[in-house]
Amino acid sequence: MGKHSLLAQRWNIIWIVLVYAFLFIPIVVFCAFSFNNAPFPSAWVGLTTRWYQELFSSTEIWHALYNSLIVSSVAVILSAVMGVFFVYLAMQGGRIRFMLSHFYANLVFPEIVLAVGLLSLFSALGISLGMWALIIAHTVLGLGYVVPLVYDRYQELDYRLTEAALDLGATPLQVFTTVTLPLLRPTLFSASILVFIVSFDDFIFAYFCAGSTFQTLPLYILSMLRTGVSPIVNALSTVLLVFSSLLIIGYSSLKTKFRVF
Amino acid sequence: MMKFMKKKVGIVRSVMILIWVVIVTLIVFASRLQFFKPERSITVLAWSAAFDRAYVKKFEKETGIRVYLSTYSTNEELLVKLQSSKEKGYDLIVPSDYVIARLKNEGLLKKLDKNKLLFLDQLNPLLMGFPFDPKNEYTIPFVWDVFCIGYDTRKIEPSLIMSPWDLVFKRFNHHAGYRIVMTNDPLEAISFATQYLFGPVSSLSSEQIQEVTLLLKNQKAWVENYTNLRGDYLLGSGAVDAAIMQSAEIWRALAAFKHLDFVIPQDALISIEHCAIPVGSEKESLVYEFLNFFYTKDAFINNYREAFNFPARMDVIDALPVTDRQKAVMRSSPEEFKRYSFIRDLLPERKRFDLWVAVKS
Amino acid sequence: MNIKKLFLPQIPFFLGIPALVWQVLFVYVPLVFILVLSVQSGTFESFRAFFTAEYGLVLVRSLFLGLSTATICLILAYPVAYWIALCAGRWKNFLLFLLFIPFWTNFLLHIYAWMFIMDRNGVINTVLQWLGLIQEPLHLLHTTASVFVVMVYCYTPFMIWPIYSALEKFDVRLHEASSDLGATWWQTLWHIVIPLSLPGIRSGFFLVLVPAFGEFVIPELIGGDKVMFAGGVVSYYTLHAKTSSFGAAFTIITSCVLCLVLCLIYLLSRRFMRHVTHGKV
Repeated sequence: MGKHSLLAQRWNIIWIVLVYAFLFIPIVVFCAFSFNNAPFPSAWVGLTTRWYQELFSSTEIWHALYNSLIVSSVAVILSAVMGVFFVYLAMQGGRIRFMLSHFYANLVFPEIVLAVGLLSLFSALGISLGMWALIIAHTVLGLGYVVPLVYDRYQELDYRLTEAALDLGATPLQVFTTVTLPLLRPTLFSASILVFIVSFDDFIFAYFCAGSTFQTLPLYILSMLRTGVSPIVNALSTVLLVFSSLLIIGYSSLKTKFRVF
Repeated sequence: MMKFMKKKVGIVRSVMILIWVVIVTLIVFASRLQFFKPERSITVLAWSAAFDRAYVKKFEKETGIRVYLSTYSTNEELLVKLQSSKEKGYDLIVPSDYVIARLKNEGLLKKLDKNKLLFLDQLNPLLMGFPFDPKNEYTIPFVWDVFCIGYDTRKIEPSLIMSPWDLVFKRFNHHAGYRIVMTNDPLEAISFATQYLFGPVSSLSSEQIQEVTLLLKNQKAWVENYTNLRGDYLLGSGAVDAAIMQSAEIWRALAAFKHLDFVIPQDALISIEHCAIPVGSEKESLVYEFLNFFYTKDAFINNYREAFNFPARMDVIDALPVTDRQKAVMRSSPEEFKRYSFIRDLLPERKRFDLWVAVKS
Repeated sequence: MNIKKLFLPQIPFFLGIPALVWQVLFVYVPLVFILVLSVQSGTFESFRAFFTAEYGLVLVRSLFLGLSTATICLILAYPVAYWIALCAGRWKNFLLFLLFIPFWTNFLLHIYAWMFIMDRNGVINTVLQWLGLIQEPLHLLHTTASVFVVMVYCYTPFMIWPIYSALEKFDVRLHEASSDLGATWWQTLWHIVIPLSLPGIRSGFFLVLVPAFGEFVIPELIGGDKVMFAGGVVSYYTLHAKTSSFGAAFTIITSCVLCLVLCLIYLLSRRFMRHVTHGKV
């Protein structure tokens, strides 16, 4: 972009550095201080891993993590399976195709509205809040990601492949399982990771739909934040950050490697 | 022929949709199923810090009785859960004083068999015999709290405190940088303000409501944070000069920070948590075992260590790691008790919240 | 035979329809429920209860929070997205990767990071005191300013992404053409780049405005819960069983207000586009 004036470029670079610093310095700092040997925010006292030890010995955190994993996994499976079959159905043509746009709405409505709606529905029907209520909510969230992503990819697929398969005598179902699905698999996989992360981090749906007994990790973090500032949360944050980064690396590498067409 | 086929296709598709709706509904309602609970088990409904989980596990190990702990965050939630016919199967509940009258009047509580409870003699008599359950036939006190005001001795000279309520509702010494922690529960806030302005009244006229609103609104200028849980940390780290909180939180702060102290207004507000058995329970014998276990001296000492609640048992107090002054508060003389008041339900929920929104505008 | 011919072609339908069933049951039915719940007593009493100055102020305040957060995010994000999309070259993938991290880590952890840093004895205060720049710790937490800082911090990545996606498709030759015709960089930016990226700006703006409007956790934890926002009102009324119809009514009121504002912004952006491109694009 040599047509830019040098001044504009330099100014821009400074701006970017500042913005990125703003975005990352807090994270770096509180990860660093997870090793600080002080029970409250203070100056650097000394190096220690005791917060990590306390973190890993806390049963409540493991319980909350277990709950989060279950809810997110089930939600991912449900939304991926339902989503991919729905896109397949929609691509057969007809009126169903117009229904695809419905799923874009899940990301347009404020989460709090959807959560309140689900809460009202569950209370009125006497469905107890808890694990399944949350799974339902997260599946709704997941469909809102899976359907648009898979649909986008589906449209990009070379239709000649499916036509060739049909010409060779395969039934539509066989075409789907042997040709389309393998081609969709990378997108489906990356969409699943995305849904998993969104569901794992979500706390608005959990806040309304999980009831008072079922606790997921974000809810646990929220209760810890409300009680005060403790380095155990620093340790937990660092662990989660590393975990998310690994997932991101996996996701990015998938995206670049498997794009065939 | 085509039309007939189309119609048939339509019917088939509708049936398919119906099948899925039924499947989904079944999945959803399956969560309502009470999973088979073994005979030797009880379901307890209490607030989350009432029974220490590790100690509950100890109970399960020693007696073989499985305990299912369900939680509520407000007493209204407790009421709703008990009143709704959809939620059954609670064997033990832990309500606060001000809902007991309603529970009793609606016939939701079972009479206790006092012979089965081995600890009644050790309970603090001052915590019993209140109007909502004069002979304690339905409820027994478990733990209790006084709402006291903790303050930072480095910033506030104890001898300068004229009236404890002034620490909350006035800028102490007119100091511009004065900051406090105030409760985030509108029920408590309105009770405090009413007690300060009018004393122990049982209802509020609309002028009185205006006064309460004005007082709380003015107070906002020196409130650093509205919270029920972070007060001890904010007080200890020096972010605030004073905090009005439940004694459990203040006692926790006193144990962690040496530069803090507390005062209690003469007409302080208290809250006594009771144990009671819902009328639908069929496992009373197991509940009595539970109660006998959790009312032992060791159990209360453990409870204090975890939650800093004031115990209902008198003989525990001396064994606790607190100052004599704190012990005196935990025992409290009859005269002091006469002046204490309960938190009261002065306004219906909606009006309560309207007031709170007005305060926080 | 007839049955087989009838059912087999419908298998795709059978497999594919649960998604739609789910959507209807758990998105549309709940929305209808909110409507039904809000007029439960047969009257609009639950709506009338909110037509007071206090609740109006709550809505205005939430709008202000959402709009200002979105605006500040836009100002911060646009140059970043511009540079990454058009100037970054080799660094592009790395910068995008870095951006994923705040995007995909738990929202609450970001809030916690700032609670930790802005604490009275937190990093900012200890560093400034150590440098001798201040004597007493600064009062950072529980102020309006800190709420804005944390809001912007949490939502800026949401703004960068859509603008970047829109700018990525930007045809660089337009830029060259315009400078060949004698336009300065600023003129090109204002008359060509921004209008063409306007859909991205708009979706970024909405992506930030909608959740920021309903935000209640940040004002509670960072701001000290001293002011009431729309999300807080909704959560209070909805989570208390007896007042759920009021919760539903207020949810509808907030949704309508938000919808109105979104439409307004959409129309304004169309107008802006037409004005800046003199109707030629």
